[in-house]
Amino acid sequence: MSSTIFALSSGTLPSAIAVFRVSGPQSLPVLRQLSRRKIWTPKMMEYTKLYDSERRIIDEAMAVYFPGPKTFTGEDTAEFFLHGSQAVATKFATCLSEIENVREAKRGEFTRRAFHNGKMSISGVRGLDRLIRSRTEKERRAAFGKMRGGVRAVEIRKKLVQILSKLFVIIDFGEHVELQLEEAQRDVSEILQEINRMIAAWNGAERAQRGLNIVLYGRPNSGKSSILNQLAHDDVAIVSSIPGTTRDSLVTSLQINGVLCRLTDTAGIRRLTDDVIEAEGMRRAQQRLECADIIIVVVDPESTSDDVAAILNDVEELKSGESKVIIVKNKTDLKLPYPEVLIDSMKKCHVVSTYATSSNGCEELRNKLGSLVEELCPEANFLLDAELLRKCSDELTCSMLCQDAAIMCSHIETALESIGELTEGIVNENVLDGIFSKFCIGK
Amino acid sequence: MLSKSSRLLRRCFQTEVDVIVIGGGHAGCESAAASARCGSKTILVTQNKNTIGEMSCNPSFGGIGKGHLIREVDALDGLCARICDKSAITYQALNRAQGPAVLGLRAQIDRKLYKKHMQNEINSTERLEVVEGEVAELLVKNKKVVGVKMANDTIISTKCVVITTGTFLRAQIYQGMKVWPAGRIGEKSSDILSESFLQHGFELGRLRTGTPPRLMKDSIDFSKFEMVKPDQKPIPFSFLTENIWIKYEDQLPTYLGHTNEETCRIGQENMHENYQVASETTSPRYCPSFESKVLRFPKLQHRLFLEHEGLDSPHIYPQGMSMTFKPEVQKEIFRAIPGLENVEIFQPGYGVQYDFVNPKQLKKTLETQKVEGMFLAGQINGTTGYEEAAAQGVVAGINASARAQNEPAMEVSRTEAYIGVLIDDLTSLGTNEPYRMLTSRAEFRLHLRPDNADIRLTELGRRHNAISDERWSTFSKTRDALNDLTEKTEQMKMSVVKWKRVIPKLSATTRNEGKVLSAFELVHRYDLGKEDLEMGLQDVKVDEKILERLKIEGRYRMEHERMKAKKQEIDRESATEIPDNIDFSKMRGMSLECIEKLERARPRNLAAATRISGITPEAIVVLMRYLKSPAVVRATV
Repeated sequence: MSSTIFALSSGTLPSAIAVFRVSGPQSLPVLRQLSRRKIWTPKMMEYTKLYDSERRIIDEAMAVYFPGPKTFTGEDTAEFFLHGSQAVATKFATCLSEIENVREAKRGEFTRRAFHNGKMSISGVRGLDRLIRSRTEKERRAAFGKMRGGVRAVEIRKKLVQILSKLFVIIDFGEHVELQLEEAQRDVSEILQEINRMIAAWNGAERAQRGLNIVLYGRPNSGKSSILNQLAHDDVAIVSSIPGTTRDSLVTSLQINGVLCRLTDTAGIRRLTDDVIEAEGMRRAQQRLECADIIIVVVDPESTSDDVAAILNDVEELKSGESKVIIVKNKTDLKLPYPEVLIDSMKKCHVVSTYATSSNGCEELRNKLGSLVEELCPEANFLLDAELLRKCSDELTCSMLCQDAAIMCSHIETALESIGELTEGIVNENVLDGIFSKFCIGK
Repeated sequence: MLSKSSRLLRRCFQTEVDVIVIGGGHAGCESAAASARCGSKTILVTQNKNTIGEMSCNPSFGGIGKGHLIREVDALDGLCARICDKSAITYQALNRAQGPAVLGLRAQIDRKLYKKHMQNEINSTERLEVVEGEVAELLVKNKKVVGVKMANDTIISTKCVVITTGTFLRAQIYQGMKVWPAGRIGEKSSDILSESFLQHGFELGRLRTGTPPRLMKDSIDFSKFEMVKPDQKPIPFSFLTENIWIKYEDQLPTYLGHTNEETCRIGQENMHENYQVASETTSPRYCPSFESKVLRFPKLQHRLFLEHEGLDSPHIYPQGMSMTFKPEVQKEIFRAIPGLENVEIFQPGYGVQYDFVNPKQLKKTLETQKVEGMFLAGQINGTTGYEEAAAQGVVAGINASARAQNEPAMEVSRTEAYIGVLIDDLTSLGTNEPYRMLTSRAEFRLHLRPDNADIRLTELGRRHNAISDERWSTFSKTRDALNDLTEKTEQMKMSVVKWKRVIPKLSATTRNEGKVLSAFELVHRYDLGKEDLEMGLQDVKVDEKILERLKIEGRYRMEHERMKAKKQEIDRESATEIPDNIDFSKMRGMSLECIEKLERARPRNLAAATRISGITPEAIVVLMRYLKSPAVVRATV
């Protein structure tokens, strides 16, 4: 039985509506499962809620079922009209791909199915037409890039083909060349790193969807709340000169470079306290550190070396791997020296100076935050890249563990297909050409 | 010509047979034997009875991909695997470390023994007769084969002809600046047949190949080479071979050496006096001549293997050193290699250029599209190698017999066997260089393994009457035992902790203790032996050979499941045919580069188009759209 495929059939997101098309024998079951509704009248578009496998609502949407063969592909088809946000679309696509025998369509696969079912005359899928019309190589590449992972995917594909060539040399001509499986595995590990970096970039895009957590952290009365107010242009926190004014964490939202950020002010950290409430506040502050994307450590000239060391130690221990740290030297207007422990940490972190009492003392910090947000959430422009890349990465990881050359090949071929070969047959002659241009083999 | 001879026909019919096989090489022997096995009265025509079963180039069989073919030939009850096992003098399988899917069965073969055993086999095959002579003309009536006319004017009427004339069609031998007509050194070429093909409208192409000189064994100092020992545990070629005839101690080693700067220099200096190099005919990339190695990679030290031509042969075959320089230069080149300072050459190397028939003119049964009852197999179809020839031979023989008996033809798909890949590649895309089997050509590589060739093909062969009763009964036993053990081991499931109690070998494993595994999974994950499994299963007798097969099956099962969907798509695209008269340049949106490539290759189906080098996925989409456009559909209906 052939598998059921799906794709986002509308254009780039965000848009008003995202249209997903599902084609294949599983179309109706898929529709039933996602809508949790049994009865679907053919060709009747209806309102429905869509649920994920844990019965959480994904979106409210319109959906319709077309039984084959009178459909675009000639197979049973379902279409979903969701709200056109990246987050919704990603979530929905993930849910679809989790269903057994359902997978994302390969390039041109709808068209191909339509073709095999004798439906080709109804002209087709967007993007495909652009591909077909493109004349120059550059245009083709560009259109290609739009469809899958961009220029970098093309590069990766090229490198995978090279590895495949190498493997085939090992398999088919092992007696004539001194090449080992380990060498191919070394090459794989290089690509794997690159792909994992790309996945990380995609994670950034996901991060942008959910928003970033920024946490202010420091000893009492170092000026955290003032900085928060400055950044938020708003008197969110009560400010006073009495240390420990902020007893619990305080959250405010702001937009930095178009990304929603939750800025959290925390209770000041003091090593010893008898105050139960203050101790609880400090505990919560430390909790906040764990889920922060950016941590702003605030120090002032009145901090002692021990204070600063303890705070930096907290941050080092509690922060998650990918989070960024900014050290803010507050109250520079006092023109007093800062504890020496800072010098070491300053080399590792981003450092800015502020004088939080004045209204324009935070510009530098604001800019720094902007660039860090940019770093954490780079622009990613295609919906399912991450899925494909993850699949590719899984396959390559498996291939690294193989001692069997044929199985290793098979993993790499699957990885190759997952990042975009329309043809199911391997790029046989290309691979052979690669082999013969680089190696002298044969008896 | 035809009308004249048809009158002759009626008068001079002497013999009447079902199938005539022309040529007694590897393709010819397999064809003739297969046809006779299938119940057809068969004649094998050869120029010289004594050259039947000749190994004209290397003294070895097998290799990667090639070993797969031999096993498949054997699974169809062909000859070469069994004959090899009777004549092998050194077993050296390749790729043992790379996993059983790409294991390359290989052995050095004693030429004399191979020829002797092959001739015995052919001479003792029921319904098969050998006729010495030259075919002067193929007799064709209404696009159907009706007989052959021999050079001595006798006519043999037949329903089918299998032509396996190898490199003999308008063959020319090259050595230095000398060129003369011959198929092998000292043997006549067949020019008449080439004419015959052209007359019937076949498209011919030209290819070249070569063979190295043979060296005198007693003039070589082997101590300066690296000795490569035979395998401790030899793997026989045939499923029917229980024991290897030759003891390990009696097997002969091969020797590894390297070329050097001096050999390279001599080669380069004499390159101008080499006709073959100057000619533009395509040579095998897979088996490059010394000349092309020097031209393409002058800085490298190239490997060469010294191989025995036979147990008691005074000659050595230097694998990797095929060349067409004049004899004096060949000697000079060899003498520059340490250990060969005093080497004497018994017979210098030479090149051959020959006609081949563009195999796109064949059906997948290896019958020509133009003439019913005419089958082609072997090098005549543009392939290289004994194994490729034998594989085609079996298929052509079975199908020629089927045609003669009016029975359904046998097609092997590329998802079933390397034989299928070979024939599909040839018939759908053709070739512009001598075609060699490679595992990289087989998409379904994880399933098309040497160990399971019988499971893949023997039943198919039996349906076409190609399997003898003896083999069928051996096969049935193996198949049943394998199924039985698979079923038993799959049913027996328990947690690893529990398995540890019954199988001592597992006691050291600490991972996955809670995991429930079937005995089937256990066998390949923990590499269990016969005793281990018997302890685990109790009351079940385990055969060692069957267990090995089960283990391999287990190793690939996961991957195999994933490939099933792929198989369907490959089969479906192979079934989408591209009409012969298609004009690629009319396809809107096709890049010039792709048009050119498609035009040159003229693939016969969609799957073949995807295999062309440099064809982009977009071009395939354009092609698909065009193929299904109303105008094209109407034209093909």
